[in-house]
Amino acid sequence: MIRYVVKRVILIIPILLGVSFLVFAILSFTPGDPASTILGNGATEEAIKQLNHELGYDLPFLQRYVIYITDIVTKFDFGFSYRTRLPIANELVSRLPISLKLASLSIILACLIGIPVGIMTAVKQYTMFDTVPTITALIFAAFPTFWLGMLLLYAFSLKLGIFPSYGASTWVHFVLPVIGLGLPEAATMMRFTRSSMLETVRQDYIRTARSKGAPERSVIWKHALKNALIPIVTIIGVDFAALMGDACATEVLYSLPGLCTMIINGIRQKDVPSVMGATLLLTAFCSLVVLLVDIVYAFIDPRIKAKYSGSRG
Amino acid sequence: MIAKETTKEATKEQMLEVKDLFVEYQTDLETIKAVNGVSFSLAKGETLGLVGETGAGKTTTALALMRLLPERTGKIKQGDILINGSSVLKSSDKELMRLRGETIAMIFQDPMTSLNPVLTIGDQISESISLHNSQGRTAEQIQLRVDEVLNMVGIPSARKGEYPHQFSGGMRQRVVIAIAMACEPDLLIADEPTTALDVTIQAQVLMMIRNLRDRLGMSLIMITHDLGIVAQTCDNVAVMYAGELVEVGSARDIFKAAHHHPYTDGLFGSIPKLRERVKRLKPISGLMPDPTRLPTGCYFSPRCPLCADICRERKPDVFAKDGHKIKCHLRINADGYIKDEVRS
Repeated sequence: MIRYVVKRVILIIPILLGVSFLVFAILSFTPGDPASTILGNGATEEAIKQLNHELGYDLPFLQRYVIYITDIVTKFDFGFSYRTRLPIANELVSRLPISLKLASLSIILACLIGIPVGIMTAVKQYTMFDTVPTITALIFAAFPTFWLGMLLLYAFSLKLGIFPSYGASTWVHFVLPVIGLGLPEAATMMRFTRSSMLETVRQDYIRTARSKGAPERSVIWKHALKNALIPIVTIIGVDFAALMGDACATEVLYSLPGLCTMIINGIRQKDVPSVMGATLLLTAFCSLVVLLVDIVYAFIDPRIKAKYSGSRG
Repeated sequence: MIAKETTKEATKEQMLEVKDLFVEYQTDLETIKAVNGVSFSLAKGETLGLVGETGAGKTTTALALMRLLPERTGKIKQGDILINGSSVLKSSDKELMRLRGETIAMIFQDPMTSLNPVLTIGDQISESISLHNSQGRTAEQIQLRVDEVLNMVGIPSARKGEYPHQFSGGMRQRVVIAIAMACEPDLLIADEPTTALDVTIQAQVLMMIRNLRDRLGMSLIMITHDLGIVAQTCDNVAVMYAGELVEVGSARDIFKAAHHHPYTDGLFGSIPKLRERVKRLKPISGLMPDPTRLPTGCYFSPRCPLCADICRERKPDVFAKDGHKIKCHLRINADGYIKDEVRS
C-alpha cells in the first residue's frame, strides 16, 4: 500500500511538468506582452521594452520556462507577480484557504442533499418520490452556475438583504456562493447515486440477501449502499477537485479572492507567474485528491485492497 | 402444527403445494409468459427434480415460491402456493421474511455473483442466523454456529473473515450452500447448483447437498438440466417445457416407464449411453418457442417428431397412471393412462 502511494506521488511530477509547459506555452504564444498591458496605451516603445527586460520577458520562451521551473525546484520560488511585484507564493497561501473552503463546503452540501435523495429515488423508483426529485435535479443540473448565483444574489442580497453580496471575511459571506455552487453539484450527485443504486439493487447478491429474509432496510443500507458507494466516492473526489478550479463564475460574482479569480486576473493582465502559480497548485491538488480517492477505495472494497497489498485475489 | 388440519386427500404430509401457477414478466415492450399453469406438490423429506432446458421457467417457478421475482416486472398472475398449508401469496412482508431463510432457502445458480463482494463470508452467513434467531443465540453462539456451518460444507472456519474474491468458484458455491443451510430450512431449492462448476467439484457439491438433505431431513427441489443428477438425487421428477410441466412422475417412471412425453424422450435421446453404440446423438431439433408468442395447441408441437393435427389445434389434457402424468394428446390410447380430472 505504501509503495503504491509513493509510486503514485512520484507520478504526479510528470503531470505537473506537462500542465505547466502547456499553460506556459499558451500564455507565451498568445499575442500581447505584460509591459504594454501594465503601462497602458500611452507608453513609449522604449518604456515597454525596458519593463519587459526588467521582468525577464524578453528572453526566449524555452529559456524562460527552464528558469521558471528551476527556480521552483531549487529554491521553491514561484516568482513575483508582474503587476504587484509581490511574491506569488504568499498570494497562493492567502488564496488557497478561500478556494478550499468554497469547494469543500459546496461538496459537503452536495453530498448531504444528493446522496440521501439519490438513494430515496432509487428505492422508490417510478413513484412520486422518484419523479419529483429527478425532474428537480435535471433543472438544477442544467442551471449555469453564474445564473443561479445571480438569482441568489438578487433575491437574498439585493431584495431581502439577508446575506452580503461580496467579500470573504466571515462564514456568512460563504452562504450564497456555497448554495450557488453546491446545488447544481447536488443535482449531479443525486442522479449519479440514483443510477448507481439502481444498478446495484439488480445484482444477484441483493437477491441472495432477500432470500435470507433480510428486511428491506438492511438490504438497502447494508448490502446495496456499500457497493453503490464505490463509484460515488470517485465522483465526490473528482468533483471536489474540479470545483476548486470551476468556481470562476462564483468567485467573480461574489468577489471572493480565491485561486480562480487569481487565474482570471492573471490572464487578463498577462501576469504569467500568477496564472502559473495558481494552475500548478490546482493541478497538484487535483492529483492528490484523486490519489486520496483511490486510497479510500481500498477501505470500501476489499477486492481493491487485495490488489494494493499484492496478495492473492 | 398447521399440517394436521390440511386437505383430506393428502396422504402424506405435504409441505409444499403449487396450484395452477402462472407467472409473467411484463415490460413496456412485451409480456413474457414464463410459467403457464404449473401444479405440483412435495412431501416432507422428499426430493423433486425440476428438469428442462434453459428458459423453460424452472428458476422462475423457484423464485415465485419465495416471492423473489423481480419486483416491477415479475407478476404471479394466477394460482396459489401453499407452504405447510398457508398461502405464500397472501403472506405479509413480516411473514415472508420469516419464510425466507427459515422455512425455504435457495442455493443460487451462479456463485460468482450471488455473494456480496464487500462483506466477509462470515458476515453473510451469520446474517441469516441472526435474522432467524428463535433460539435466542448470543453473538458468540452465532459465531459458533457459523463455524459449524462452514465446517459442514468443508471450509475451514478460520477463513470466515475473508471476502468472496478470496475463494475459488467451488468454494464460493459452498459458501452459498452454507448460507442456505445456516438455519436448517424445511425446504431447500437448489437452482442448478453445479452448472457453474467443473465436473470434479460438481460431484463433491452434489454429494454434500445429498448428505445434508439426508441428515437434516429437508425437502429438496433440485433444478437442473442434467438427467444424471436427477437419477442420483430425486424421488420425483417434473419435466418442464415452455412454462408447463409436460411429464411428472417418480424417478422410476421417468427413467423406466414405457410411455413418455415426446419431449422427455427427446431429452433422453440427446444424452450418450455407455452400453449402446450410436453413431450420432439425436438432439431435439428446433428451439423453444418464443415465450412472448406461444403456439396454440401443444407448446411442444412445433418440435415434436410425432406431431399430429390435433396437437396444433388443441391444448393437450393430462393422462395419468399411478401418479405418472403425461401432458400429451398421443397418450389417449396408451395402456392404463386415463385422463386426469384434477386439472394440472
